[in-house]
Amino acid sequence: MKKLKILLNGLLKENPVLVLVLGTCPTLAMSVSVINAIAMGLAATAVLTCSNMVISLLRKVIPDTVRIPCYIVVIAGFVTLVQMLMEAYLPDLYEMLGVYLALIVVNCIILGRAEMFANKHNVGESALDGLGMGFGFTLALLAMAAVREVLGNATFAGMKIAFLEPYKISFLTAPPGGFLVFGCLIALVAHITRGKAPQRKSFDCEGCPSASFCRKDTASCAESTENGGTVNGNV
Amino acid sequence: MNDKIKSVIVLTVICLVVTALLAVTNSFTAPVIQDARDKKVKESLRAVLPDMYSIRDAELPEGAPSTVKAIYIIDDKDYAVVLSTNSAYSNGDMGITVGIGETGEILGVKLTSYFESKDFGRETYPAQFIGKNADSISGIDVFAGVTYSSKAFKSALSDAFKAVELIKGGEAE
Repeated sequence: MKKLKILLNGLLKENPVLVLVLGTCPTLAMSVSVINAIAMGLAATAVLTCSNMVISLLRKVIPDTVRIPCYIVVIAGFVTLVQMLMEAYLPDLYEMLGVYLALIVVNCIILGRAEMFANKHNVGESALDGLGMGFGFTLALLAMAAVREVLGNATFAGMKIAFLEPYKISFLTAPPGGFLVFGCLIALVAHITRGKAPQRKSFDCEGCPSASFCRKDTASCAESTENGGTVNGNV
Repeated sequence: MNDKIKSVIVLTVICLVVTALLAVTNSFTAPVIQDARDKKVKESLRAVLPDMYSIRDAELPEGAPSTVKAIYIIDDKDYAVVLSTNSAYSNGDMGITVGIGETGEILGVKLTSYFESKDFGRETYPAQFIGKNADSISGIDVFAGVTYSSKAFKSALSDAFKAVELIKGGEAE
C-alpha cells in the first residue's frame, strides 16, 4: 500500500509541475504539441527513474559534502545516454526536442527528487518515486499540450480538427498563452487538492537542496510555506 | 578515512564509471548516428542540386574556414559545400548545405539542422539566397528577432564561397 502511495503521489497530490511548480521551463517550452510533450515526459521519466535508483544505491557511499556534484554527474550521464540513444534510433524525435533534451540535466524535478527522496529511501521505493514523478510530469505536460494544441492550433498530435479551425486561439501557442494555461491548471489542481498539497512535509525546506544557502532560517521558511508561500524559486 | 580524500575518490570513481558507460553507448550509437548524418547530407546534396549526375569528394583546402565540413564536386563543374556552424543565439549546431555553380552563384541552399528552426523560417529564409554570389549575399536582410541566427547563416555562406575559391585556386595551380 505504501509503495502504491509513493507511485501515485507524483500524479496529483505532489505533482512536480502543478503542485511543486518545478520544471516549468521545459513545461512551457514543450507543451505546444502533444507529441513533443509525450516525448519530453518519457525522456525525463527515464532519466528520473534511473538517476533515482543509482543515487539511492550510492546514498551510503556518497559523502554529504560532494553529494550535489555526484548527483549532477549521475543525472548528466543518464541524460547524455538518452540523447545518444535517441539521436541514433529516434532521430526525428531527437530533432523535435532539440536543446530541451540536454536541459533535462538542470531540470529541478530530477535534482529535487534525488535530494528529497532518493538519498533517504531504498532502491525500489526510489524507482517508484521516479516513475510516479515522471508520469506526473508527463501528465502535466500532456494536459497543457492538449489544451494549447487543440484550442490554439486546432490540431491534436498533428491531426487537424476541422470544426475548430475557425475558432482557434493562436495566442495559446505563444509563450503568454502557455503561462495562462499553466496558471489555470495550477488553480484547478489547487482546487481539487483544496490547496493542502503544498504543505506536505516531503517537500518543505528540510528536503530542499538549496535550503543551506537559500534561507538559513528554516523555521521562518517553513512558516512561509505553511502560509501558502512557495518552497523555493527553482524551475 | 579523511573525509576530503573520500569525497575526491568517490566523485572520481563516479565520473569514471559514468564515462565508461557513455563510451560503451557511444561505441554502438556513433556508427548509426554517422550513417544517418551521411544519408542526410546526401539527401541535402540532391535537394540543393536536383539535376546532379555525379558526385566527387573534394579534399578540404588548407586554410578553409572551420565551419566548412565537406566539399563535393558535382558533375565536374559545380560545388556543394556542407557547413556546420554555431549560432551565438542558441549555441546549437546549424547545419547548412549550399550548392555553388561554376559561375559563383548559389544554385540551392538547405538548412539541414537547427534546433530552433521553428521560428527561423527553415524554407523561406534560405531561399532568399538562391542566385546570389559572394558579394551580393550581404544585401539580404536578417530576420527581425533572430539576428544572431541569421548572421551565423550568412557568415557560413561566406565561408562556403571562401572554401570554393580556395579549391578553385588550388585547381588552377
